[in-house]
Amino acid sequence: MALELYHSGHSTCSQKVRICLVEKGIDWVSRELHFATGDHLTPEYLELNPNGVVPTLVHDGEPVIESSVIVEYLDEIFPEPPLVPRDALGRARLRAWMRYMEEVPTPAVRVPSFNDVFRPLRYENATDEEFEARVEKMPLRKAFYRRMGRTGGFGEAEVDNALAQIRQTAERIDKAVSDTGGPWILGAQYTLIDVTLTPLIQRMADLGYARLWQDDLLEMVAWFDRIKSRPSFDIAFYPGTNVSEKYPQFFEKEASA
Amino acid sequence: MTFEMYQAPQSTCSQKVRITLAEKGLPEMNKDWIEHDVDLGKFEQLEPDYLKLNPNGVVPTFVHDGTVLIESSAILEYLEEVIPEPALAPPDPVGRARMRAWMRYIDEVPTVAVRVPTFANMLAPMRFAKSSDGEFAAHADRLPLRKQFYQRMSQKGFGKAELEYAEFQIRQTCERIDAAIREHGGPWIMGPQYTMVDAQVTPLIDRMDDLGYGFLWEDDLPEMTAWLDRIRERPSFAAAFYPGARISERYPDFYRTATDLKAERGY
Repeated sequence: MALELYHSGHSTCSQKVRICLVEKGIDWVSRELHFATGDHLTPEYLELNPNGVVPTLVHDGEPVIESSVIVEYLDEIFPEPPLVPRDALGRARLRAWMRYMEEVPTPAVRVPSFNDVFRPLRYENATDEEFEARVEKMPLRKAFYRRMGRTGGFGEAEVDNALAQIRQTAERIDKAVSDTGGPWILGAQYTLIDVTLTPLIQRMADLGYARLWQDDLLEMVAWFDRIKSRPSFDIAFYPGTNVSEKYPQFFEKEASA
Repeated sequence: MTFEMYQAPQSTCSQKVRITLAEKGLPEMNKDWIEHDVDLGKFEQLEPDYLKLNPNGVVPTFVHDGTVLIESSAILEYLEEVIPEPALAPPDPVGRARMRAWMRYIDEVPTVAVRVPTFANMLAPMRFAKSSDGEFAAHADRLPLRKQFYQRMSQKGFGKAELEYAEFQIRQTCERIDAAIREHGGPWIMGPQYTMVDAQVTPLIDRMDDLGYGFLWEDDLPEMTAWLDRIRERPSFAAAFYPGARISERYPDFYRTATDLKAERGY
């Protein structure tokens, strides 16, 4: 049984799937894509993933797309150790959390990620025509890039809103750990919502936004410490997968500014 | 088993749960399941008592024997688990993964896109035309989710770029439905089996049609058009879209077709 993962080291959605693979103890073959060369927008890749995003899991030749769907698929075909609750109600609560994770923090994390690193890295020195040509090739999220713009970045209102969304996510994690008694978001069982929120929180911490939670959300801070001490964390975040390691020039600049 | 739903007749996310209930043999409101009407015009979804049930401040909220469930797509998956027949999900993991990938696409693309003409063409002029900037900002601030949607919109509704992009996203959705039916032979999006994806996307397409955007598919996407005809022949459609459930019926005084609005504002 062959499992191949088309992914990128620093993509948060790829990190969600890598954590899940490690938690399940599954061997997989890495097919790494490079966004700088547009590997995710080639006709061959769009054949596998018509949305032109990473990751894509290929299992015995069958492509499975959408990171939340991939982790749920992995839980169905490799049931042990279980990363979803055993009862229908528990699964519904997990899925409601996953929808929130997809709607709120996942897009919110893109705003500082692009403002602080990816926009200056990839588009600052492009021409307007090159930028528009790249955006035009994207099956999803054209509006996101156009709101950002090649040179301006997202404005203050949009950045404030994104940070408020991350704060809200951190508050909900804190409350959930407190209400359920922890140690994980749904209680005693570590589940797919712990898996999928981890890369989003790690990205924000890596970009220097831990201040959004570290002073007053003590249950959330303790949850994140527990997450980082699981063996899956260091394996999924292998060297070079944090943006601060991959693109240190943006972090040195910020520190000296 | 007692099923209750806090919902609104014209809410597309409520409609998708109503379709699914009907498909599962629970078609009749206030007989097979109990309705708690949430008046979105009065912002009842943002009242403290409702936020205790649903911290996101949106409809629907589903209650099964006293247990509260939120997020319409998660509610559909739950109904599939507690009422397995007739099955609305494929029996194999690969089939379920394909269905769920479609569901994520629908949540990310057309669900969000449909809100743009809904608010621009009807709800923004109806609810906020007379609001001051401060009142509008205060309203946006009450929303647990989607503040930014309101901030981008303003009292007057969305502008040309946002509306044109929403049309592009709906067109892409219709093209994907058309292609899926050609590829799998139909009659439904995943092939011979009617699934949650058909239930989930139906209210979005019906809303666009109701707002007068049928031109996005009816001229050149015949498989998509035939799919919508088949959808409307299912008994679940009539059950979910009872009289007054379409936004044009709910707010007739504010109803304007896309064609009229395009003639007036140019987009």
